[in-house]
Amino acid sequence: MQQPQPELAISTDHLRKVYKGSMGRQPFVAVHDLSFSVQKGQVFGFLGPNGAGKTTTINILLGNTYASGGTATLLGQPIGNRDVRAKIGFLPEKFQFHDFLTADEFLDLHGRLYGMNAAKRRSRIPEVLEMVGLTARRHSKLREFSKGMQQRAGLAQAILNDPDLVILDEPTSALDPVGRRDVREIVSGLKAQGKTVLLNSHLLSEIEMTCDEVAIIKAGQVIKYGKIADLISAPTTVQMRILNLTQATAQALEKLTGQLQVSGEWVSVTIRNEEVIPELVAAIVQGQGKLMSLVPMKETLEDMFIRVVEAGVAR
Amino acid sequence: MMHLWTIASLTFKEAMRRRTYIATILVALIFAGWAALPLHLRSHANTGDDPQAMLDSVGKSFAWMGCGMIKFFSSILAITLAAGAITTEIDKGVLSVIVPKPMSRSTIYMGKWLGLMLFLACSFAIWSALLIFVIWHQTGTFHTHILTGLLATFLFPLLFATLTLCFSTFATTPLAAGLAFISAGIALAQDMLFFMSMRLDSDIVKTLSTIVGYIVPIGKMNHWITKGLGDAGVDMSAITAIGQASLSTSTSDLVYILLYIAAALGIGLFVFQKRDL
Repeated sequence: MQQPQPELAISTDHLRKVYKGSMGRQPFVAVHDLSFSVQKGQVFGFLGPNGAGKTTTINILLGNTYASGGTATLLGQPIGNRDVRAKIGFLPEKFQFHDFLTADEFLDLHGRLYGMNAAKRRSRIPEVLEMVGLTARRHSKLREFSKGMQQRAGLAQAILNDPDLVILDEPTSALDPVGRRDVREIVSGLKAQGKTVLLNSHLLSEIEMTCDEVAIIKAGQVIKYGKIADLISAPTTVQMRILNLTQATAQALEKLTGQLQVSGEWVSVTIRNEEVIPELVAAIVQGQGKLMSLVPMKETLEDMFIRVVEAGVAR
Repeated sequence: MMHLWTIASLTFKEAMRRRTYIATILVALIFAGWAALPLHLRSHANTGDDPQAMLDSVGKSFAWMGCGMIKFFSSILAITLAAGAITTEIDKGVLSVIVPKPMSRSTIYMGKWLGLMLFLACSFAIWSALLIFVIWHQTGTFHTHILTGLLATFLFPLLFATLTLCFSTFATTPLAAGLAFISAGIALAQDMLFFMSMRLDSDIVKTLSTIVGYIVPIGKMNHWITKGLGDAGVDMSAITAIGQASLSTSTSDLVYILLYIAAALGIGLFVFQKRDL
């Protein structure tokens, strides 16, 4: 039995979910021995290919689905704790709301379900509508909204109760670039307030911009887990355009990097860390070379994600 | 309690959004049509019988037919509303943002049940009021027994809404509705089997009739409508001795009906609490 850890917003320990096979079908293991934790105050990226078990895991954490094995805690308490649920906000991937309600009525409904009193609802609803950019449409019915606007309304619902933990499952799937930027700003704002955010998204550039740590899962197991900067540890390539490159300068650069490729004015070197870059510049200047451009080519989260998922590397 | 009422009012609004109130209005129009029929004039013209006795007979017929109509339409309405109340919301994903809120699943289930019952009770009240008005308008009489008859009639939407909501926790919308209709079909055989058992003097058929009456106690509920109406209505089945025997009922039957409804509610609650969304 996992001991509650108050400093953790989310903790799973050997979590497992097996859907029983019916009518001759084999049982399906959606989550297989999943263990990870999220510190309070973090923005945590929850990544994985389609069918990896991300949404199932989120549903287990929220009590929508029951685990077949293992344990999990939210805000230091076992999942299902009602006091903790009052401090959680959730936007599902497959969102469909009571679209006969106006945005105002919809948020009032969810405010009631969060247990917020009338005064609190009256003050909070305009705030969150403003945050998601729906103030002007507050009296419109949700069915009149575009998919993106419905997702904004869903996001407003997720942060309505000023939650300590916000779980966002593909929060920008229906949003345009402006909407995605707004969501990033909301997530950043939540982080600044010390809130914890679990972000499940396939838009890895957004994850890279907003998250402190990520877990990559595949076939219901964590295959990579840690700070983004630590995970993207592949050698960095630096591409330079150098005029008057002498043999001596090339040798100096090779000595600093260990790997050098020259193609006319273009020089490509592989470095172990960014600290070497000033030394590269100094060596070029010292050798009377003219440095016209220098572009560090870092591995992106997307590069790393594809590499890790395709390889199925264990952490 | 706030959570319970919030879910109940949401369910009520959902029923309104589905425009099921149109069904309520259409049935109400049938009753309004009854009120407009010039029946009392015909009874004067056609026979030499006591007009008051004729009117009394018409009133009883109206009461019996009216309860039958209310029973039928409220049951259909109950099945229609309850069949998708859980499954459809799970399939749509609506419940996935409701269940994580700080309340128990039993609150959600009971809230849905309460919302359905509120809508059905409103429809039922409108139809009942119109039926009483029709009888008063056509015959100038008001039997207090009609109220007990109507109260017994409400057992039908109560049972079908509860049973169908229970089915809706594990079956798709069409299947939940289908199961409810199958239950009704099984139950309808009770009186027929009893009638046959008396004719054929067959204990096996009689036992079968009794068993069917326990599987789905619609027959027992019908008998309670007859008992409730008393001299305010006339059950055509009771004109023969066998028919009269088949209509016998007791307080234990009523207790069984109520326990049956409570059990259906309990099973639905249990399944909903255990299932994945």
